[in-house]
Amino acid sequence: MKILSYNKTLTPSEAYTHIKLPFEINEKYNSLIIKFSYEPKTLADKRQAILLVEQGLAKCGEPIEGASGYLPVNNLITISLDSPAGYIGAAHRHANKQEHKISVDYADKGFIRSEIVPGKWCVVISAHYIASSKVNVALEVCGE
Amino acid sequence: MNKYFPFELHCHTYCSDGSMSPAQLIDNAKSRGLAGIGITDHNTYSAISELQAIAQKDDFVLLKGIEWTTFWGHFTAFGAESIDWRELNCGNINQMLARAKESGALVSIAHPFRLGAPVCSGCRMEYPITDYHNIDGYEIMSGPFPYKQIFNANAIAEYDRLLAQGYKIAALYGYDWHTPDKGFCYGATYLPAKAAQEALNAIRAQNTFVSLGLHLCVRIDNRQVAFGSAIDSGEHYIEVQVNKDILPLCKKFEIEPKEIIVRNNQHIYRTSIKENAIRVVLQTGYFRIEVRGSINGDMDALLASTSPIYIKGD
Repeated sequence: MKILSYNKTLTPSEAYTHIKLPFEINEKYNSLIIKFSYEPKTLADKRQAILLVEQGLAKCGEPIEGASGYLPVNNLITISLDSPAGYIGAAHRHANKQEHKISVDYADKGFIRSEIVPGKWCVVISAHYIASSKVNVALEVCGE
Repeated sequence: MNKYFPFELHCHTYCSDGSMSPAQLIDNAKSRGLAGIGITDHNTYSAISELQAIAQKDDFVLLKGIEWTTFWGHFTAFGAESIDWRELNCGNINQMLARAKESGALVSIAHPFRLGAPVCSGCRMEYPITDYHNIDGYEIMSGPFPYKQIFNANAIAEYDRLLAQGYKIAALYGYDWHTPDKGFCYGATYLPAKAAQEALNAIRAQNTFVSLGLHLCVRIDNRQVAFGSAIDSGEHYIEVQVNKDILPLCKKFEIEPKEIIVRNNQHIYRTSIKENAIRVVLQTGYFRIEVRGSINGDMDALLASTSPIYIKGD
């Protein structure tokens, strides 16, 4: 059963922000399935990418020559999860298409096995870095 | 005499963005000749139960931690479960670190001078930290081939600046270990500890040194002195015993210590490994030891560096 569905287009001005998505579970489920994706992963505009790397290097006091060696420039968005009992974990990895299952006797990497109990839950989308002018984020939470 | 053991205090599994399973991480850590690890997966504790089961069975030391992987800097944190990494921001960082300290957490700054965004978003320490009393450790060395990295030279300069201000912070090494060994040179944080609580206590007491496989023992006026302890100012006879016990996978790099450097505030005293002793007048503040030498054809590389020994005022 679908519990939460969320779609949003993020822009560079929304980098370094957390989007909290609280949701209520009203009945007990065997497992929770979270599907999360964002597009694009990589900033396609190579010129803009080199400019961003040069700005990043300059900010760190490093020479900007050789900026192209640091390409590609990637967007990085992660998710984390709270149950009514507290923090369950995060999927801090670079893949931009992820699916996670959490249950009392199994949890995908990054999460702690948890009983899917009624109460207040929360998924948090963390925009660590947004380079592309538009990044389409999709998240779906289902109970099974 | 205290015996120091090598630890890796910054590592990841496939529970965050590493590629090793918990079992592979411990297997590889043993191959590296380590006595223990601090697990610091990005923003998750989910590898810990499996690591703990393996470590207990194998008599391997496990420090249970996390890497707060935030937008403006990374911290390795042990015993910090009461802190939510998502709450850290540039406006509250000093209060959050104080709260972590009050709760009993041990918090260290990870790779403070790595490149930040877009190369490695959040990897550079950009927080406006104004009170370092809440910081227990500082990665003065990180990554593979640490002696080659400009970000480590910058980290050591900043570490000295903090010590000069009177902060008491342990010198740490963190490989930031994500993947199985690729034949790279690595170091370790050396701690006089054979159990997790002893290891944490040693870091809190700044009784640490970082090294590429050299064991350091400092004797002052014929008495061994622990790193992080305090002595009186004035004239002292400092002996530094440097013993080669190169970490197993680093033996191919032909590490050869040559010079001992005593850094007392801004003053620098040098002696050779052969002499291994120097008479100095220590001024109030701190001193720490560095050992330089050759490695893999690099003739003047930083091979080891200690936490400070504090010099009391008159």
